[in-house]
Amino acid sequence: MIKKYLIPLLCLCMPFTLAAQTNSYRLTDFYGGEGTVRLQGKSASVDVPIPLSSVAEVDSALLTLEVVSSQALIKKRSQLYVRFNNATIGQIAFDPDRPSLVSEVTIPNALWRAGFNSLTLAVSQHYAEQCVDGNAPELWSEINVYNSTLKITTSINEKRFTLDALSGFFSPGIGGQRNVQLYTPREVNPLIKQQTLPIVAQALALRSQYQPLIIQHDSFDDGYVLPQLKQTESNFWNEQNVARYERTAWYLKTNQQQPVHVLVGTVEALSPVLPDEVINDIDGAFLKAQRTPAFVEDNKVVVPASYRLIVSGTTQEEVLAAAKALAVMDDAINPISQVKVLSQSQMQPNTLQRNRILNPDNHYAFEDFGVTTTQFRDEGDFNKRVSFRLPADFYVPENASVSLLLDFGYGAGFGPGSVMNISVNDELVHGLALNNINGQAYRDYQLRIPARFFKGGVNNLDFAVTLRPPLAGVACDDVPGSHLVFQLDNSSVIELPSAGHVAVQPNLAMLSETAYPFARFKSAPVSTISIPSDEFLNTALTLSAKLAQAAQVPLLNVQIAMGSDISSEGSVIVLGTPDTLSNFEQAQFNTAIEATKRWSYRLQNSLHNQVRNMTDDKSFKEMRIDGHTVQESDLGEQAILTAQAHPVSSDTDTLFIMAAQTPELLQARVEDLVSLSLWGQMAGDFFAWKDALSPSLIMQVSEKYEVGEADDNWLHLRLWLSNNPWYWLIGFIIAVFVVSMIIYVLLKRRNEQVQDSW
Amino acid sequence: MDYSQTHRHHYTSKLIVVLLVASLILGALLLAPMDALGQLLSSIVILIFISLCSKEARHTQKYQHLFRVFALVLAIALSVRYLLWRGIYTLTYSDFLSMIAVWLLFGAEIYAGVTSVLGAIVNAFPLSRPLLSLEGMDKSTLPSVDVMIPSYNEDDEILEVTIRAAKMLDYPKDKLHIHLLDDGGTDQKINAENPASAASAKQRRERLQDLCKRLDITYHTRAKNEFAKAGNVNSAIQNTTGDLIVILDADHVPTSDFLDRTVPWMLKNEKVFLVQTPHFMANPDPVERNYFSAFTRMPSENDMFYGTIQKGLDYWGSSFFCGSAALMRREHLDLVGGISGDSITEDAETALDLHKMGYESVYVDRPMVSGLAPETFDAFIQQRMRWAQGMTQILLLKKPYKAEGLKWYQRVGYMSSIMFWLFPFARIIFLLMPLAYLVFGLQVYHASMLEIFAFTLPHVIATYMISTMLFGRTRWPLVSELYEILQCAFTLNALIKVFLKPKAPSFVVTPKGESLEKTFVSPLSTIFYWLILVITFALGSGIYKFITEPLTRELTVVVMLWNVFNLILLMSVLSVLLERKQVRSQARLPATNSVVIKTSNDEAWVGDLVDLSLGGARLRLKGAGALVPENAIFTSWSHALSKNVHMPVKVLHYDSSSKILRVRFAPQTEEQENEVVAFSLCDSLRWMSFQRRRTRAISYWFGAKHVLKVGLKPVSMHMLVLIGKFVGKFGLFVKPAKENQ
Repeated sequence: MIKKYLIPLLCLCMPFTLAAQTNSYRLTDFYGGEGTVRLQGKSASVDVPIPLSSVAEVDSALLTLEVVSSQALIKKRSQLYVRFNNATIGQIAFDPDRPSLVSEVTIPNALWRAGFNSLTLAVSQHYAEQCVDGNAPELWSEINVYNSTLKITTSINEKRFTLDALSGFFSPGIGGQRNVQLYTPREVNPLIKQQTLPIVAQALALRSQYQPLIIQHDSFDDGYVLPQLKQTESNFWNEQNVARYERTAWYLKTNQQQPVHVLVGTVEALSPVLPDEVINDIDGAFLKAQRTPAFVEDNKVVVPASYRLIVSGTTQEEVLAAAKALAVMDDAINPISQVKVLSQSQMQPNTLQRNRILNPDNHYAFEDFGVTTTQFRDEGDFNKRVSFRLPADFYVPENASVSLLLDFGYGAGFGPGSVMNISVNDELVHGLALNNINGQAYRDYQLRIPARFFKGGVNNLDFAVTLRPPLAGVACDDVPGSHLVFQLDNSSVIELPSAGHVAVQPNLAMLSETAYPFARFKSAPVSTISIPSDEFLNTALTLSAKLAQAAQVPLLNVQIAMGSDISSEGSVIVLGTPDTLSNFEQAQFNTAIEATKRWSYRLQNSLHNQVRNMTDDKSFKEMRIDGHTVQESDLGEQAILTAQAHPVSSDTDTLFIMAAQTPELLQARVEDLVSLSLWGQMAGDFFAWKDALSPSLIMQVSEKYEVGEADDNWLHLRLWLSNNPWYWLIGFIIAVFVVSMIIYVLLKRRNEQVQDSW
Repeated sequence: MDYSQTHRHHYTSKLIVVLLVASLILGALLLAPMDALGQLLSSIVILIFISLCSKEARHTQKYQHLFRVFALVLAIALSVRYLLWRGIYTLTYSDFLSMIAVWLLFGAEIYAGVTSVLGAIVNAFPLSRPLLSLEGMDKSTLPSVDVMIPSYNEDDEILEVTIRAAKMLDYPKDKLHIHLLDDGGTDQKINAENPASAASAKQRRERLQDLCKRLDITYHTRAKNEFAKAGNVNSAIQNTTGDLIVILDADHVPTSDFLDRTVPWMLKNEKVFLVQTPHFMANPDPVERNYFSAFTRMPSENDMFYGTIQKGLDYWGSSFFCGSAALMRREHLDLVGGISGDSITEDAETALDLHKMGYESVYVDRPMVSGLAPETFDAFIQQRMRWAQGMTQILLLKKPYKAEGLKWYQRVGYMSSIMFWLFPFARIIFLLMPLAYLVFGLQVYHASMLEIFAFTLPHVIATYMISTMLFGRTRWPLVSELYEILQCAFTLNALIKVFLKPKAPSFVVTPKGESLEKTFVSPLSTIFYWLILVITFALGSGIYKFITEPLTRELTVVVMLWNVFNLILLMSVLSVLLERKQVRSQARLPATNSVVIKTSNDEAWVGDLVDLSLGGARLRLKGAGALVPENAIFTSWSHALSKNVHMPVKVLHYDSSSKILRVRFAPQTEEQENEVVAFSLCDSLRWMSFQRRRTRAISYWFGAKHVLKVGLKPVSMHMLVLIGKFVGKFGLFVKPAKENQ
């Protein structure tokens, strides 16, 4: 009897097979600036934020820094301080005789905390014992943040598995899961595959925020076959052990490396892999976080323990509803293991997309979109970035402007050189000297910024503030800057003008930044990722997950379609190989990817097929690609992504084609594509790549066209006339001519009448 | 109505329907939205069309008027598109002050747009009337004419010249009656409480009575000075009986053919109540004298009105009475109780009253009356204030836009003439609005640089092109702006008073023939100093703004350019305020007659006139070695008298190198006096040739360059005079203008 309970208990307490992971990161992985950070002046510092998953426990962390310092620095008074979450963990003395050094600093495990950890690299630099000029050019040191690394070993500390832990598991920080397997029954209903799986993939990817999440689909059979265990008693598979085995995640493939996997399907379809008590609980749209025990025999793990997320329901619709709930769920308020979704409102795709952006013709306080009040203290250069998203198809007239009503202030005792500069998307728009010795506070400090400085997608407002103490006026004496304080309040407001909804297509850069045209502001037409067979499903799911990350909302309108026919509604991504794409008519495109390729080589087409920023292209040059080379060849290791106007869509939509030589290669390339390094480099409408570092070729080969909202005829007219001013001009001249002719005839007639009277 | 008339009317109605439909389509096109770049492209093409059409319209050819109309409609359409764009897309503001500034500016632009459209309609088809004459008509059937010369305070000399010229009018003497209407010697004046004034008035009455007696004309005065000039004329009308009435200001000297050219129009049409002729100014106004010193080279200010606008108004049957140099029908005047007196521009008001009754006016574009422009800036402003106030009174009291009896085009004509005088509101706004942005940071013009290039600039360019097409011969570029700036500060004040109390303004006689013995700074200069100071300050603010606000640099540059333009105009205006000494008492005008100078020894020299005034002449002698004695006889052919005149002259100077001889007329007898007047002032052909000489077409850039060049040069001189005021030396001694009078 004791054995009956002891064994399962033991199994639960067994360490995970996934227990500890060691990874090495470059500091540039966490730092968006240059590969080399130069620290100048008497004192300077740089902060590197290092995210850590809430479910990860750091076992060891070693920081390796590669530093070069000026030979002018004197040894005793020049140091590099390494601080971690404000605790000094290392002091590295600069030695003029050894200007280049590599130093290792161990980060104590106790200092790590979930979320963002702050690694501060601060220097104190002197070239003399006294009277050091803080602006002396020889006061410098450099940290090569590209070569500097953080080697960290983590393990999972989550003993219980509740829904609130999902954010931790899929955190973008260290210890977060980077790929996930979605399990469905082998015979899965098309609705699950087409709609539910993409939403589940997106839901998990949204938790990973910016980190790519590779989605893999697997299936399980209706029943299990008990594994053959060597050197076991023939009666090993007794009822008790079979029951133990049934409670495990026996269906997991042996290559399963990640802690969390997902089961998706109706209760009926999932019944072969779920224990009875769970099956009994499923009587509607259902989500459950469950930890499965390991199956261990003679200290050998037959089936590893795992965390599984169950997305289920009694019907396919309920499964879909559960997936949708997962997609919008705030994990933090669900510290429970299961949820039954009764109903949801405001779940239309366009409503969700609208909630994540700032809507035109509205005003928002900074706090409305999560910006906190910021305070800068002490001497130094500070930066506050306020990011917000505008609709991808944000379109304003030339003279529209965005108003900023800023609430900010600074304290007394500011010295010369104290300034605040404001930039919008890296364009300097305003500067203010903080030169009132008594300090000053501003309310509704108004800036009107031409709306053309803003773009669809992510926009950044940067407040660069330099705080300087007053001059002491005495040689070799400085006024300390500890009294300096600057505050930017989150009650500051941004007022957006009314805007139309127009985007210039095709534009892969826009796709990468905003997921347009799959995510739209005004409407959300059904869009598809079209795959020829199940072999491409993983790729389609990964892509769909990445699109959701780009849009920052679940794209409920994105579906996966099977077969060679493409949808005539909405935008489409067609995945395939040259062979599968041969079934697809590409004659009208400037490039064709099929068994016989048609490439528009650049030298054949003058300069037209270079990448141009289509949004700013006001040249009205007709883009005509005439030169082609038709060749028979493979794609090799590379993948190609092209974009062009949808040939059969009833509306103006975009058709994307993504191809590699084999399905496996395509999957590998898509995994490269969704990586942090490559995704942001997408541009033009022809994108070829063969690794995750940089594209092989970017081109613009298709004619541009504008996609607008169908219900705004005025806007349509504006666009059409703007693109075809000649038509307006001809109409205008004809109308003027007719009016003039009639006026002339009438005037002449009157003149004759007057003359007749003489 | 016969068949052809009915058919024609029907055809016209159809055309009007088509015109309305085409205009609606054009309106829809003007409303159509377009991005700035597309508009820029379109605007450039439209400007090219306007340029080509206006060029063709300036050449005499078959389709001249068609090109003119095409250019006008194109330009109006472009301006309407601009205003629509302004109204729909750019009127945004963030606070109450900005709102006021934005709407003020837009209001000024609408005003400018409306006046341009009205002006374009009025001037679309200027009427060219043939030159008629009484020659061949039975003199006995001609109507009798009363020539009335109202006077208030003018010098006897001025009056005498006018009376002598009037007496020499080519018209049957028994049907011509000259009347001097003296308002300076009325019973009211003679019995004034102030003994000095009373004595002066009495002396004036006696002097003028003597003058009338000597010249054999009728002297009129009245008991009270009621209703100013209108009352004076009306009083005389009651005491005279002539069929036709000519009204001549005291300084308006008629040429001998005045009645010969005007009376036939009265005879042709019984419904004609007025035949107006141009006022030809024999001396430069202060702007022409002080600013350009180009009186003989450049079109005069009123050339634009009399050379172009009145002809346009005449086409629309709405040319109006200008107070003098006009022939009127007594019968019609009696219908409205004589000259109207509700406003202080009684002339236009009278014409309006008679137009409302369906009577017609005629404009004969031949200068047949030469008058004196106000000499000083002070007098000039006084005259313009009266005109502005009077026209505004008509707007407020007579409401010509809805006056019963007027045709729609007559309303347009009157409104065009009246609306013009509201320019001070717009001009002040255009002058000061850059300050709102540069100094106070108000966003008054919400447009990007590209939009300014696409909408604003083409509208401005089109306006200037059309202005050049319509008035190119009679108005040089930027001259209108100068005149407007000069007047706006003063007339704005006067206009506001009229809007507050429409009936309050009273008639003020424009001082003429004032002495300009010394150069002095006009007492009205102060406001311009302030304006220059303020606008210079705005320029400084603009530079600061340019440096400190990179975001708005492009807009700052545009507004600064606007501000600099204003500053240049204001600095140019400064030179007008420097009242230059006038050397001659009468302005000399170019003349080309052949002359013989003969001495008592029967020696004679032949020469050609260079210029001529009532006082004397300059001539270039032919041959060498002339030694002309001090006294000689000047002989030449007088067109006015149709005979040779022999006038004694005093030789003032002879320059042997240039062979220029300067002489002063020294008439000894009444007849010689008449001959001097007839020879120098009564020849309309000379006025015509002079007018033609200065109303020549020039290129826009040449005109603008000239105006700016001439305008900027005297600024330093102005400063010099100002410094001189404090230092008390230099050749230019400054005295306030009032002391000179």
